[in-house]
Amino acid sequence: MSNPTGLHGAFRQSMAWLHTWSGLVFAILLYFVFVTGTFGYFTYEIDHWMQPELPSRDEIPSNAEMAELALRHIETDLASQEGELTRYFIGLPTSRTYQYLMAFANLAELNADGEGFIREDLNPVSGVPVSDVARDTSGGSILYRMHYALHYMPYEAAYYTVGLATLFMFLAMITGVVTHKKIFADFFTLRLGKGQRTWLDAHNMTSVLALPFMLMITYSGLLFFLVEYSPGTMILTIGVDRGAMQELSSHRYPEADLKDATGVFAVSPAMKDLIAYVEHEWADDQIRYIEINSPGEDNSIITFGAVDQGLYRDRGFTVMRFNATTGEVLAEDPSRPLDSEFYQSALGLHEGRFANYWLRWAYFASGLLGCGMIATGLLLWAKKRRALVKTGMPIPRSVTIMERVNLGTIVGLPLGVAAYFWANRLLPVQFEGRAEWEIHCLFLVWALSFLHAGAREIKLAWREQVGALAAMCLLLPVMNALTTEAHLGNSLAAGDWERAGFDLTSLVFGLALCAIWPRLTSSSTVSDEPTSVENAEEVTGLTAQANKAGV
Amino acid sequence: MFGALQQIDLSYRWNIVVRSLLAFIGGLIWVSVFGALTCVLFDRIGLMPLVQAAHVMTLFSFLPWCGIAMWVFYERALKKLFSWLGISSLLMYLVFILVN
Repeated sequence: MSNPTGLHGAFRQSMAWLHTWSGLVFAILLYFVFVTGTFGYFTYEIDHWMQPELPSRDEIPSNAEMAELALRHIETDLASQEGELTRYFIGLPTSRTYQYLMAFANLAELNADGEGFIREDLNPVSGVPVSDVARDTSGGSILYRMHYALHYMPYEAAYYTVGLATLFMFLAMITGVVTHKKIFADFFTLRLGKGQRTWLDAHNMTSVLALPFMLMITYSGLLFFLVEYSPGTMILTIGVDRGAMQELSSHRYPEADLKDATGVFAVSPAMKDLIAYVEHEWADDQIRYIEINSPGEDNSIITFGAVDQGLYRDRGFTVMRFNATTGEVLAEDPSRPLDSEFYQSALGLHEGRFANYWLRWAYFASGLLGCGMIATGLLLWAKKRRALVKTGMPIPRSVTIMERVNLGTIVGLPLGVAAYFWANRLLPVQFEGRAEWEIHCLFLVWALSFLHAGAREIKLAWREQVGALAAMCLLLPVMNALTTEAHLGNSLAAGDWERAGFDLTSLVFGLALCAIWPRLTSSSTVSDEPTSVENAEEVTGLTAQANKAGV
Repeated sequence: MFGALQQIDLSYRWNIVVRSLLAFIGGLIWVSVFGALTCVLFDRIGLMPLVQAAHVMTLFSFLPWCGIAMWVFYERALKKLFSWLGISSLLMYLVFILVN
């Protein structure tokens, strides 16, 4: 066996090698995951912006009125469309989802589309389906979904691919920490205009600044598909068949024996009385969902789930159950074991659904730092490779390809996302399949950016793509104003900060890109000039130092 | 470290492929057997029930997996890696069978 460098050096050199490659192999996919996942922290706000036909914040009716609206819709409209229903689920609006009252039902038999459920979002005031009044869109939720389920590929293949990439990223994070001698000093070091060293500093700074977030987000990301990603211990002990998974689920979410009588009753089993009872027991307006199992039968149970303000995922872990026939309050669930609390907390931290707007923005900023970390890592890798080319030698094709791929990835994906938002405004409202075409636009523009990066001289391509992205961001609020009534002026006047925030964020991104754009002429992002002997020596020296520093 | 601009010989590629597989598959096997043995021991001494132990060990399985990957790419001798990972996995599995 040969003695390749990097594998057999001292510990920190080996870890630096591992950091580079474990980070690089899935860098493009991870960048996609980070960009789409970062937008996911504002899923509902993006949904709101992408359906401009919906009014700004209305007075939300009482829970009893909304429950009645949704129940009526399920029992008349949905039942007449789909036949027998075995379970109803009503999702009540929260402060972030105030436009949507969810009516959901499980079907006794699969419908014509092969689905076992039907869902419709209703206007919480009028009860009219949102799809009747607002444009069809994939919304912010598809960006959120794409960060773990990707697109155009089977769900299972997607989450295994993302899981493998996440495992590599976790390894890259740990080895990145291990290799740093002065991790705290790196946080405060950014030497601008120093070529490769600048990118190294930027990479270190973005990584160290958001290090706790990165470690949390990668590790908790692995836990979402825990048994799928690390099935070995389960296989050897309890198994992974349906029975074993039910046993695991019962361990994670222990439930009370519903046959235990409590002898406590609501005034009557009528929905309004049950809601009144729950609202009296909990603080006002805390009901997140209402679930009715086996509706109309003797054993029917009505469950109320609370808006959990804590760390847990927003799945209503605080619940109250009633016998639907008698109105008797059923026994409370026992407390969960410590490992289940840890598991739920990790998932809760990852999704950040508990976060208020300040914390949500901190999540968003940390996500952007994650994107920056991956982007600077990619650029640094290409810079290092180019720096090794001696004067007069041709630039290896792998380096030029990588530089173009970097551009197509780092700027191309945001261009695609910007195109996705533009498509929402430009595609005709009645256009068949417009929700799917919004996504096609994202990937078409992303693909075009790769083609453009390949076809143009690289420095020009950077200027053109960053310029195009800046223009798309700056003009998005203008396009919004030209095509809808939900423009910045109106949303600010109505106090609709979700829509106004979207437009303002787009403007801020556009202005930031405008600030970067002039620097791209003398930028060290790429350089087609041959490296001078002096420069080459300097850069090689820096490379050696960088290796020692662990990148 | 940056030898990629030179001609990379076949043995280097082979070395990387073997180590990657060893880190991924060998790491998964080692972590699984270690986790299973620990679960059974926890259950036997009454520390926690088997299903909880399996959940706990799976929750933290990515940490030793990561440690093994680091070791695999640090250790010079492939033979040593194979023997340590192989023998320790086998021994743990035998003890697991015995205890289980």
